[in-house]
Amino acid sequence: MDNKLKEILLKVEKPARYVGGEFNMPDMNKPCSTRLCLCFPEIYEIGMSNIGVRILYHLLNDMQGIVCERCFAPFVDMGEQLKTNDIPLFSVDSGKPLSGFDIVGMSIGYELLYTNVLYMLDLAGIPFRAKDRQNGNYPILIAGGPCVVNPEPFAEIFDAIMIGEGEKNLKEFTLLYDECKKQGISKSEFLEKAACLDGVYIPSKTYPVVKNGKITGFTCSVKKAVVQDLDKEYFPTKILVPNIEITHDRAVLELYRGCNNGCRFCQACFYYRPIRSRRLQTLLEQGKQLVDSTGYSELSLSSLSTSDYESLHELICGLKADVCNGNVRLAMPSLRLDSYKSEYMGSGRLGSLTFAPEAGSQRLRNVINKNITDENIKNTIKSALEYGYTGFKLYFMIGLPTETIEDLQGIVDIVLLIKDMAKVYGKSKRPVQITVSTSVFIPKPLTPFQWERQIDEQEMLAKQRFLIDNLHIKNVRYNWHSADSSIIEAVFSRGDRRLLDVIEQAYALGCKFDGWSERFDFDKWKQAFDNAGINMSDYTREWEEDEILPWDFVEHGVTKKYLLSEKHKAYDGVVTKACGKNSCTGCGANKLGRCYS
Amino acid sequence: MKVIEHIKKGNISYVSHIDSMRVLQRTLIRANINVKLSEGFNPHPVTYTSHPLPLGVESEQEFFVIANDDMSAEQVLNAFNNNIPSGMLAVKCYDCIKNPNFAKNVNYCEYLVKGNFLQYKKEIEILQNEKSWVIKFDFKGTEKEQDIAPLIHSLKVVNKGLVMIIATGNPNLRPDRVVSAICDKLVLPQKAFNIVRTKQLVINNDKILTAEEFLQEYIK
Ligand code: SF4
Ligand code: SF4
Repeated sequence: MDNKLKEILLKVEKPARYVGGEFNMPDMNKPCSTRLCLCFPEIYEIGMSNIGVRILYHLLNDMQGIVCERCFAPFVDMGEQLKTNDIPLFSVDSGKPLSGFDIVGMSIGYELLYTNVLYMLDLAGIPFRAKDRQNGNYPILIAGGPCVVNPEPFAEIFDAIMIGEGEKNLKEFTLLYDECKKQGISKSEFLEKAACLDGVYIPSKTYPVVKNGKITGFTCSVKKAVVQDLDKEYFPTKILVPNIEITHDRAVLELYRGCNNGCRFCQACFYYRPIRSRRLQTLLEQGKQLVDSTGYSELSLSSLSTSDYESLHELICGLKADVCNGNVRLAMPSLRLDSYKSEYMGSGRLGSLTFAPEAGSQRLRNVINKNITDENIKNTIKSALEYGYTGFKLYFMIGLPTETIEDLQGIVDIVLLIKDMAKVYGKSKRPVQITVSTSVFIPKPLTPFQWERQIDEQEMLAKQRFLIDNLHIKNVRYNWHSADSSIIEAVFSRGDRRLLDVIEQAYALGCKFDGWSERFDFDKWKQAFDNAGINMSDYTREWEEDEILPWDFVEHGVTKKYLLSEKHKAYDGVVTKACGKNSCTGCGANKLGRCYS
Repeated sequence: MKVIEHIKKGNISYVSHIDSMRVLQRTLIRANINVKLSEGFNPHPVTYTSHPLPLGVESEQEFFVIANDDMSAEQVLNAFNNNIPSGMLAVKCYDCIKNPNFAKNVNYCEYLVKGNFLQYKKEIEILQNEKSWVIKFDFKGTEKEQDIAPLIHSLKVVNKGLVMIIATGNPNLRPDRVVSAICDKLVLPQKAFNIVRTKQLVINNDKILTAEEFLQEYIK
């Protein structure tokens, strides 16, 4: 390591973020013909907690002739030091500058990270737009991650975008690159070939046709890549163990992909379909290997709706018997209210029970297809209290389609219900603590609500005001998610290619780490939109049902027709039951892969 | 009791003392090395370390003491080395009758500051005779003063760099501060040096014991 870098590492907070050296690090010096760097545009502690990045990192490193390194967004202090000292952004694993890799991949997890993508490229000395990198020896820049559901706002940054599951498209893309590199095939010829792979989107070849400011079609379409047999698919069991504490510092098992509940606001549900799971036996083995190879004392069972895993009971019992030995805690982050089973909560201190009814009234829950009844809520509260829980954390959304003041009152009523029931069933002498958190509804692409408008700032503030006033109750806390950043999230999740100008403007004005509420600066964002001559409201408005939407060129399996019928059912207040092995509701996802195979 | 002597080299020297302790604990779990639990209300594995190493300083000699009697020293050494990040590999493991308490008994450490100091040999070595040498440094935003003269045992320039033996523990002198003070005295530009802790020492009056020598009376 050179002295300049040594000096700056001693000046910044937590230098261990930048130097790697974790246990289970793959061999970075093995003979290799292709070197990738996977980037995550957030700090190390957050990026390393991402299961997708972990899977792909180990998958690529286990491939012959391929080395994959990592890079995270340097925190502001480090970014400043790199700039002033003229040190280009480098990988964590071997300290190699990003510009020296064959392929640099960005995993983009959510909309407020878009400026950080530019921040990392800026620090790496890589021009932002693909067209500006044509002449010059730059790495091939690719993107992946949940935001590719609608990649349009950032599409023109990248040479290729991986839509769907990385185990399939990123792996095939890398293999093809490796082959082409060995044969001396040019970058543009390689991209031409790569466009034929499932889930590989080449923004310079597939693009929207725009007439009078409206999208009238696309030059071609892209089919989402889907892993066919999840049970047999690669899953790393010797994973990196960070030397510093990270946000989710634990081993993670992935039970299944997709979700059968079909809540109408939920993008993940539809994006990750078809529904595919890992077998019980596979998970038990993977769980044991993970715990043995990491020394972690917490094992998390992860999926969109873990409690819906078919063999959950057997899995938990099996893990408790063979893996945990009393030293390893099982964490289940997404137990749904309607399936909360007290026996799973097992050992450990009982703190707060977290659940997310999402809407306060039965009527609105029917609209959004959150299949939780008032009865379920009562039963859950009752058993939680009897079991000894002393607190509740409740999550709701405001601004949902058709929402009225009665629905907001419903949130308050649930809180009052808990307080009343605690007097009867509560085990503890201490009063129950209730935390209510609300986020603002975002009409996300690939959901039945993708055509909806987002409520405007005044409406958001009025709804928050109502809750602030009415939740002014002893031992009740109300947290709300900022209205401003919800607008930015909505705009970029539904955006088109024009928005790259705005991202560039915002970055030039100093926006970065926008996901950190203390760093988010709405005034700068407004300025950025003004500078680019674009109205936010063009993107938060209601869209016509026959409009061509910016992301319509992706074949997601789930059809627009299905989403539209779900939207209509929402307005009729009709629920759609969770689909199952023998009760397919026809969303279309099974065209890309078998559900429940 | 097992005393594990290990290194801390390369990039892992940027992992703080507290984080390193977690790395060590997790290594024991992976390695299946049983450690006796403490008594009391909140039982935890009984382990001890030697004096914290400043961030960015490497070491050829760190000690990690664990309450384990059910494995041989060799078994512990192998299991440990199969499960520790490579920057912290163990070099030896001793089977001891009780905790040698490095944190209390080690009062000096030898550091090597890598670099070519030969042309300043005289000027540097004479500094070890200073009667008083007050330095100022920034401590969490406030300026502090420290008289480092009594905390310097020796300064010696060799081919590889500057070898210094300085107080460690209580009182404590950070090696990077000494180097920075020397640069100040000789009007040399301030920069980051590669510093390695090479030895832990027990010095009483004029008697200097290396950690190995000190350990002898504890070894089974
Ligand atoms: S339960 Fe509803 S909110 Fe949760 S992942 Fe499934 S569809 Fe989405
Ligand atoms: S295709 Fe059928 S079974 Fe598969 S996710 Fe869609 S509705 Fe469910």
